[in-house]
Amino acid sequence: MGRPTPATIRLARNAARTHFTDPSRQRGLLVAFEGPDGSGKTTQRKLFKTWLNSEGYDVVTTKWNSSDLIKPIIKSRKAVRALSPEEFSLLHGADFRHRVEQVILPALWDGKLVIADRFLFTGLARDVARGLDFDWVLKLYEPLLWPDLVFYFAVTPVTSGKRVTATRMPNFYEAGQDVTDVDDPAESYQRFIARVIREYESLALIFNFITVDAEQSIGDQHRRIRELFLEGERRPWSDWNVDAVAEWLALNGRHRS
Amino acid sequence: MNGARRGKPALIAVDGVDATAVLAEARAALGTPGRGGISRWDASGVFQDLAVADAGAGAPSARTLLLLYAADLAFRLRWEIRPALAEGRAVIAAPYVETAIALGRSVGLKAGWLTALFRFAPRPAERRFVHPRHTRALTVKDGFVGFACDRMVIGPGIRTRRQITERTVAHLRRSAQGAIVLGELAQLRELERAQHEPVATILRAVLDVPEKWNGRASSPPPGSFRQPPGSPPDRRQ
Repeated sequence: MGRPTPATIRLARNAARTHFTDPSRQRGLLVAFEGPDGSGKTTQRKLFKTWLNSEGYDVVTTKWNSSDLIKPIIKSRKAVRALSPEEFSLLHGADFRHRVEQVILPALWDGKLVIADRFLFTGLARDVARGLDFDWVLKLYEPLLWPDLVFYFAVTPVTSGKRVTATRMPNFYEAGQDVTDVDDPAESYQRFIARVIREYESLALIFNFITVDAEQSIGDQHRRIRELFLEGERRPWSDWNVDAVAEWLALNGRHRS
Repeated sequence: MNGARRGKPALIAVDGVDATAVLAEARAALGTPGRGGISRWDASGVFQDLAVADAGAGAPSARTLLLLYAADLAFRLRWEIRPALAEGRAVIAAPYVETAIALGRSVGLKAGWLTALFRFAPRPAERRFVHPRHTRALTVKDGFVGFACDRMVIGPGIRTRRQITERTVAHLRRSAQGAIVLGELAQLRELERAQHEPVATILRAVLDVPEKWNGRASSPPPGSFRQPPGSPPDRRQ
């Protein structure tokens, strides 16, 4: 009765596999843009989306910390600087989970192309840079949903710092002032982003990101992204995602359809 | 909490689905107010904010709610529980971790994920469980479990509020059995009365005690009463 039985779970897993491996159906694709602030990924994401639309793709964009339900909770607590690293991590994990269930998986199920402007790797890089344990943070994001492609926009800490501080002062958490104990936001940012980039570089190796040299011109980066996307577009569906999809299907009763 | 009365610091967890009964048990566990304080759920106001969120934002899943519960618990640990313990006071966490884990299990989330999620929470010195009467449990609307049942996505035709509450209670009962071996005899007797089940039966199930021991003997089997399962054997004989 109440609890998902092994039969329900098996049904949901089979439904997920059948749906995403059906050759007669346009499969949903998930492309993540990752990188430190000031790496130009938002500019590239917008150019990429425009190009995809012109190619006939149905594109959905989701940004980090943007769920209608959780974002206001995080925003109000950031404003009064009330978050510890654990709370910061858990609230962002909740925001991510809500978007996975409400935005990302429904769009993928409908065969759309989802562009994620930052994905769970942002949480991993920032939280580990804040001193949290990698395994614990990764666990928060289970069941894991792996993108088809992850573009990592690589810049040095100096470039990131220059680009961010050229137009504005980084905010308290962006600058990592909750963990650096440095009063000057620009100086704190420089120290914190060096740690974040170090974590990103480890993640890029572990999770096989496609690294884009974000020090290149905007046009060159965009052309490279198009090429890499076309090369990777027809990858088979990753069975690693079956648990995430099955849980969502069971939650919505769609495993029966 | 001020440092007027210092003593042995202790974290006592009180878990259950019925918030009113849990609070009453927490007050009883605290004894005199000067001994410490009670840390209650949603001290951070996360769930209050969630309650007034736009309905169009979409209902959260149990997993999302548990991540928020963990964030709230991290807040309680930082601002209420750890400072009180540092002052040498007692803190009654009502509810603590077990209620959330039981809710997660009731909707089918894996025990491994739930345990890992709450890994940051220190082990309490004592665990108490409030098991409501069957009929009362099914009408629970307050507290974390009641809030979750009201708000979370429940798959169509898959689970009902009644089923979730029943299962949460069942999981808490199982957790409580694990706590018995760490508790005092008086608590065992309380549990016996609450569960309408002889202590000997409960202990047999937990400790694999031989059938011939009826719980009324002058001394229990060696190593069975005060030691949790898995402890090294008693070598004092």
